[in-house]
Amino acid sequence: MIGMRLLFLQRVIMSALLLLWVGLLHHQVVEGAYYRQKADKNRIRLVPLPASRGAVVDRHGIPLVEDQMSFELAVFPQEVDSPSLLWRQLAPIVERSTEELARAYRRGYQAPFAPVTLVHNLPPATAFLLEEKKSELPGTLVRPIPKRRYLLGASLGPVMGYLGLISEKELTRLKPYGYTIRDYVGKDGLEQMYDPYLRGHSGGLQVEVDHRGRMVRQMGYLPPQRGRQVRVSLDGRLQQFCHQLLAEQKGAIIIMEPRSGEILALVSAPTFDPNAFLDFSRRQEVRNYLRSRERPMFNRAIRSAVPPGSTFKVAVASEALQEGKITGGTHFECGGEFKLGRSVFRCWWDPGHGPQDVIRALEHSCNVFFYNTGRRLGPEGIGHAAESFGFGQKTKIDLPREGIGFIPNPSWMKTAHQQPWQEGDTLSFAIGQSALTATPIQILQLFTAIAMEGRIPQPHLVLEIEGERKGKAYEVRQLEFKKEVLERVKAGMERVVSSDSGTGRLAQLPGIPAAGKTGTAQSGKGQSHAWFAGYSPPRDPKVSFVVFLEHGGRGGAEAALLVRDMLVYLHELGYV
Amino acid sequence: MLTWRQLRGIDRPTLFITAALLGIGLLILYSASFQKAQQMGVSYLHRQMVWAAMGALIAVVLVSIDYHRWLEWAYVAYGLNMLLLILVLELGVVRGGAQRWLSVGGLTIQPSEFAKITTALVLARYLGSQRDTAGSGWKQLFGAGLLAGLPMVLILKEPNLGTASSFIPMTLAMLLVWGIRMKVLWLVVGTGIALVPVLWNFLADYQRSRLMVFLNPNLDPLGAGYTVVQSKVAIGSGGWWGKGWFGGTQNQLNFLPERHTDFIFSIVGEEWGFVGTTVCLALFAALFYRALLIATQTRDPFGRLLIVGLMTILWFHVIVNIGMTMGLMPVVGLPLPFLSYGGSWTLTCLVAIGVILSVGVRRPLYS
Repeated sequence: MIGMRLLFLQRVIMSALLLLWVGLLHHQVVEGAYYRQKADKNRIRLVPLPASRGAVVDRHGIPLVEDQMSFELAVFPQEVDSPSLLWRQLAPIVERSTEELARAYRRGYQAPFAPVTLVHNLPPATAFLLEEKKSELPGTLVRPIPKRRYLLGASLGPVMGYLGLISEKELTRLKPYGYTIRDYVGKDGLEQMYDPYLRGHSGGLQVEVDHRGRMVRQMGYLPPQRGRQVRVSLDGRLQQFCHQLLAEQKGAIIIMEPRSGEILALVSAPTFDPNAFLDFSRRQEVRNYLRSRERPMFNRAIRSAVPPGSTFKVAVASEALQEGKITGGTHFECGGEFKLGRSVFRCWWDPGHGPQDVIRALEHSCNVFFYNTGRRLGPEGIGHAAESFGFGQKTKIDLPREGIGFIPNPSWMKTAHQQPWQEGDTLSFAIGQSALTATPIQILQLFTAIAMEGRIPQPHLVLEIEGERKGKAYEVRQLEFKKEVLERVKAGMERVVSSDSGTGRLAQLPGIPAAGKTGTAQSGKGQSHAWFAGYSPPRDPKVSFVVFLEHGGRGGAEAALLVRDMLVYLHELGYV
Repeated sequence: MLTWRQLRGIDRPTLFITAALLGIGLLILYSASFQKAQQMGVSYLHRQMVWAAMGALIAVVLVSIDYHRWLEWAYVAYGLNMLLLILVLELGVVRGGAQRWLSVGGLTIQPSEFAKITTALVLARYLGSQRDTAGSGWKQLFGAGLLAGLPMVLILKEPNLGTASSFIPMTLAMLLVWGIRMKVLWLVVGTGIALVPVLWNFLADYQRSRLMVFLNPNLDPLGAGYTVVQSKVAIGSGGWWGKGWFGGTQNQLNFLPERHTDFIFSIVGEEWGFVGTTVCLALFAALFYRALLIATQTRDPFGRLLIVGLMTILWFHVIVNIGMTMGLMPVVGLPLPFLSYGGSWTLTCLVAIGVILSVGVRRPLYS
């Protein structure tokens, strides 16, 4: 019996051991890989090393934006024995209070092995001093950090955009492309549009840490990869000049090479300084940018949809000539007003222009001529003109958030305003009023099309990305016109500037011929918008341009004077 | 005293297994405590070697003297040990919230470890002298229960749930081999299991939380569950072959607390892999097999009971300790025989081996 009992005991004991062994087999062999991964996760940490962002240079290779090395003071938490003592030692050297240092440390602390930045933008002298005193200040580290600088400051604001910490929404979208929560990304302008090229690839240090997160040794190093350099078509000098030209005035100027669509200058005012977004001490300035009712963040050149006013007459004239609604010989008598039933529509020139053909009508910007022409075309004809010149659509310039404007039509009038389209609507439509709106870049596109015999290149800023030319990537559209159509329209536009009775005669310059069209658009309350769009020289144009002054007066006055100065500078630079 | 003939009949496999387990224990302790030794100037390895040598010496004494002598003194030893346990509660050293140690001279000893031996001794003496196996055995069950219950209550008060619970399988195994009716035994086991929820109410908060965390270590991965989580990762990440001696990242980077004592087996698993753990388990299985063989061969009921009691208590430690490192058992603080660092514990294990061998050399050799 005892033997049986011992055998029973033996079975219990051995079965328990066998069960344990099966448990080990499962835990170590079957689940081994899983636990191996967990063990690695336990001990391996990544310290990201930021890559410097690609520079942006102008058409001549002169840098507009670049990452410069700036010094910052950081500390290794695991090597600091007494933080409060260290703050007291550092405070006088870096000219910060001990509280500021302590706050920066608390805010930046991630792990014992990860350096915490205490002071950004150290003056070089301080950086060297700290480097010398390193042995007395254990755990401190002065390191060069790439810092983005917008060399032309505010003049490039809306074109370049600015950098900011990635938002939650952007992160969900961009995570698959390797973006992380600590990344700065382009928030507008070229910085946003070309962010994937500019940003480069962050490197990293792989470190092994112990249970308290202190670095034991360095395991791997992946050097950060600089972002790619982007060459844009802008001319830095011209850009700055145009920026100064607008000065306190709200508005936009765009200058383009009409054959290629390369933008030489694109400014919007008021503007903002992108450097402010990267400087913690300028956060109040940034807050003002974001809150200001003047909307400095708003790129008027490509987003502002406003009535084009008389500049639109160029499109109406071309369409009417092309469709045979008028010919070169068609005359309309301008008595200063146009009667339609019981309503009276005025020309801007009360005494009246007398008999006008299309060339004269453009020269004088005669409303009565275009009322008549508009009636012949009808709202559909005018709408077609607008559409074929690219109104109501994006020009596809390589900048984010481009506006599209609006082309009215009778059926829209019925739905939106519950009233039929009136004859009077057609008249205001024909002179670029009514509900018609367009962005400055769309107006520029219209004038480029005329200047280039119907050829519409896609406007663009980026020429090449680190040696890789982008030229072929841009589209060109061709509008077909009868030969005499463009001859007459261009003749009219040339007279706008060259004739002493032209509305744009203030832009007249000896030796620098230009063609164009002024516009003075009524827009709600306040002063009218002033437009001047055109190209130079009239034969074989080298530049096309648009000047838009938001509530800035008259196209023939304020805008024309700006164009005049601009032409002088363009001549100086050799563009015309 | 021992005759030459008897000495030649000593169970060599048991000797070999014990030496092998002690050797493995020292090697892995070296890897587990090397850093601590450097930082604090305390060499766990050297201390453990001293304890092992002392234990071996005691084992030699135990083998050479007839174990019946010890049985004669069983009640006295048991009584003294109980006094020590009471002393622990009165003026013991508190470590980690528990009062388990007595300071004697420069040494701290854990009387609860020795109670495992003296209780086995007293139970063997008591049950061995109860020759009436024809009865139902209720009386003997009651008597054994009292003898085992006293140290259990004293140890529970320290508090030390693990050690206290290890008396249960020992007593049951001894009753089984003594010859208690199976019906009675099953009834006791069944009632015990049914009483678990009642006992739950008697547990201290930390003991309950340990049991809760045992059921789900992720309840508290940084607190009570931390050790289990890290231990599971350590063992599991060892895979087939392990990361190599001194190559365990969980070990060397300090992710595993208490790794030189209760969690030494995690390091075996991490650095020597499934192969290493299998070797250890096989050695334990062989040890218990040899012990049971000796128990079968001896004709002395006292000797048989003694072996069964001591072996069961070692076995229980192996099962609970290894199960605990894998998260299969609650963390109750039972060390692993021969591998875990600890003076009292190492001595206890070697005394057990000494007694087993002592019975072994005196068994009839002609069978």
